[in-house]
Amino acid sequence: MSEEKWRRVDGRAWNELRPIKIESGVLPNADGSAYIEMGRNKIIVAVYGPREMHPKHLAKPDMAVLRCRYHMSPFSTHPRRSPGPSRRDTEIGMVMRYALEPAIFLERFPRATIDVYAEVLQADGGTRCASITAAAVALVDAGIPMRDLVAACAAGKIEGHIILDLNDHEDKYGEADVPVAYMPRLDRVTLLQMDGVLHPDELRRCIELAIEGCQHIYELQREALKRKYEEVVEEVKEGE
Amino acid sequence: MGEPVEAGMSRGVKRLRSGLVFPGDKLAVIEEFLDGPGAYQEDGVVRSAELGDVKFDLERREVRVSKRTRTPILPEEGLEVIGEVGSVKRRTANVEIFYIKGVEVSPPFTGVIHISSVGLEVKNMNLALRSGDIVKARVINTKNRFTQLSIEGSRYGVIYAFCSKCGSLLEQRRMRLICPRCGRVERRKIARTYGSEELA
Repeated sequence: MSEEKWRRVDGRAWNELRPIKIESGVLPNADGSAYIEMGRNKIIVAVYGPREMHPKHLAKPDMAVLRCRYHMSPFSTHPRRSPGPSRRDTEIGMVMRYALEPAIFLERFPRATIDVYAEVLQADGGTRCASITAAAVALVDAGIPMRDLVAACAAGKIEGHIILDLNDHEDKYGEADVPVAYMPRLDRVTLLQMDGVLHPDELRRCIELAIEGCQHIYELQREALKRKYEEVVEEVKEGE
Repeated sequence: MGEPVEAGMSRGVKRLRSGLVFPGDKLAVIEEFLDGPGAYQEDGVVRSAELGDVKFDLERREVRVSKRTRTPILPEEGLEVIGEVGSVKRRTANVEIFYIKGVEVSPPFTGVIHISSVGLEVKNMNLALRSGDIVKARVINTKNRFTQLSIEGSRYGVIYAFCSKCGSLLEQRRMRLICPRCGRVERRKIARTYGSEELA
């Protein structure tokens, strides 16, 4: 079958992203927040800080510490998931930290901490990428100086086809999964993982495809922030 | 509107771009403009570090980005803070800072007042501050593990104090504090604005 006619389980073309909706500033209690829907994924991210680090011995004297907590709600998957933090949650928290750290000016806030909480409300594959995407929006919303936004997206392989933005089914039954986080303006990759088996050429194609996806997601991140912060100015102008 | 800025301009020509810029957006190259507040420089390119409005200062040849987002509040040298006194030792007192420059911060930051920056000739901190007092202070150092505070000067010191016997709010009579309920007389380093400071 030709590449053009082949369709995926959910009817998408090989290089098609799922429908994405990003909203910033959804939680009034947090310093910054964002909500993302990526297909059937629903994730809410809250950012607190920079604030004083507790316990104090974890603080670094020359820079802020970024702490990320990734958590999947018990109702986010079928069947129900145990609510406690799993090994996977801990690792994805760490992966998020590694993906976001290069984008933040941590050295501007010595001894402080920036806390990022990602709560997965509904999961359908690719939650780590969606969490990173939303976390970058939430960090900007919190007013934290950044080198660039971070957009994340996965590419992979199923039935011999290289595809973009895997869903849960494709992740489970496909041959490989390559999540990539990317700073579009600086053209830098901040996260690259691979699960499965790929030929080096296929891996290269996956990375290129994922970066293309990230660039598209980046535009959506900008639009989400624009929607909130252009409104702010209009409100101020009306008040004058 | 949100696209990278083409800042190249001949001398004296004002081609200032308004509108939103995002973190990472290219604003200029270093030969044209320096990186001012809200901008940073990397590999000779000046980029925005904030979401906000860009301004080119032609006199100082500098790009600035004034942010539209919230500004993170941290204790910085010279700022005025208000906090609650925690534990008081002979030479030091801990303060939980909950107002910085009139803005509430939650959770609080921890500060320390040393007896040398009280401004009174006292040998024991107990004679200047007591646990539970609300104190107005100035940040003098943030380079150590704790934010160091000073209550020297008439502007700074206790703004609300409580009786250490019955707990009711003390009233100021000249340089002394008197408990309206039990009549106890206490000593503090009192600020000029004792009892009249507005706390939301």
